[in-house]
Amino acid sequence: MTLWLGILAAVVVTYASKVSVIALGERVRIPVVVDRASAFTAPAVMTALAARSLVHLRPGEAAGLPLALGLVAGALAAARTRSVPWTVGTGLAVATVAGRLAGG
Amino acid sequence: MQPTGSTDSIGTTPLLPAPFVDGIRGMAPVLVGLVPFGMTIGATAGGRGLGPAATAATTLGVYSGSAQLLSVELLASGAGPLVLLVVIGIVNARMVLFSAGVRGVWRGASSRSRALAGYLLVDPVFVLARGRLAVDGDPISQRQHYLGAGLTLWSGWLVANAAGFALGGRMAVAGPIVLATPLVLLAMASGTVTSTPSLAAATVSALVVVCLDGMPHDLGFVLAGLSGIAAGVAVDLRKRRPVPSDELTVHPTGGDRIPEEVAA
Repeated sequence: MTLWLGILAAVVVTYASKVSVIALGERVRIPVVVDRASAFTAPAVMTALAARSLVHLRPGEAAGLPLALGLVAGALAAARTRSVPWTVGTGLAVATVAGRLAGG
Repeated sequence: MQPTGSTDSIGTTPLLPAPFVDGIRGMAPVLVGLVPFGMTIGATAGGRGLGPAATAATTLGVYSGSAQLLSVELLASGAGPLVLLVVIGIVNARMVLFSAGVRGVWRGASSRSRALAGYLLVDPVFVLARGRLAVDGDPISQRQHYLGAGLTLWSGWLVANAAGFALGGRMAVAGPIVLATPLVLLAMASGTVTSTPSLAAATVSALVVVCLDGMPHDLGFVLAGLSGIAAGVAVDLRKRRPVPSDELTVHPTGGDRIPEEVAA
C-alpha cells in the first residue's frame, strides 16, 4: 500500500510541475523574474545534467584513457558543431579507436 | 533546407506534417544517446525489487529521467509518500520553469493538447522546443514539432526502460557506450549556450553540481540548477543596466560613446 501511495505521490507532483504553467495558459500572468529565469533554465539544467553524468561516469577496467580521449573529442565536436549526432559519433568513434589501439 | 514531408512533385500529401517529422528527426539522435540511461533506470528498478507493475507505473507516471531514478531509489528504500512528494517536488522544480518556457507554444490550444504537452515535457523536449521557437513563428508548426520530438522520446524511453528491466542484472553497459548519455547531454548543453548570460548560467551550474556531488536526494543538482539560473539572470540584468551618464566618455569627434552592450 505504501509503495503505491509513494508512486502516486511521485506521479502527481511530477505531472503537476510539468503541466502547471502550460495548463494555466494566459489565465495567469507570469512574474517577470520567472519569465527571465526560464530563459536560463536550459543552459543551467542541461549543463548540470551533463556535468553530473560525467562525474558519475564508471569507466570500468583500464578504460579510463580511451574514454577520456573520446570525451575530449566529443566536447570539441559539441563546441564546434552543437550537434548531437556529431558529438556522439565523434566521441564514441575516438573512444573506440583509442580503446582498440590501447588493447592491441 | 528542404522542408521535411512537404507535398511532393506529383502532389501527394505527406502522411505526417513536416514539423512533426522534423521533431522526430531532431529527437532521434538524442534518443539513441539516452538509451543506455533509460536501460539503466529499468535495470535499477528490477534490481531493487520493484515488480513489473510498479516499474511500469513509475516509468509511465514519473516520466522524467532523474525524478524517475530517484523515485525508484526512494520506493525501494521504503520511503513514504510524503518524502517522495517533497523530494520529487524539489527535483522537479525546474519543470515549472520549463513549463513557463514553452507556454507560448501551447497558448490557445485545447486543454487536452496542453495536458499531453505537459506530460511529454522533459529536458530534451524543452531544449528542442525552445530551439524551434527561435526559428519558427507559427504556433501550429511549433506544436507539431513539439509532439514529434516528445512522442519519439517517450516511446523510445519506454522501450529502453522495459529492456533494462527485462535484462536486469545481466545488463552490462560498458566500453565506449558509457559515454553516450554524457555526450548527448554535453551536445544539448552546448546548444543552449548562446550568450554571455547563458554561458554564466552553464558555468556556475557545472561548478556547483561537481562541488555538491554526493548530497542526498539529488539536492546538489537542484542547487546547481538554481545557482546557474541566478547567475544567468544576474549577468543579464547587469548587461541591461543603464549606464550612468558619468561613465560615458566623450568621443574625440564629439558625441558620447555608447558602450557596445548598451547599444546592442
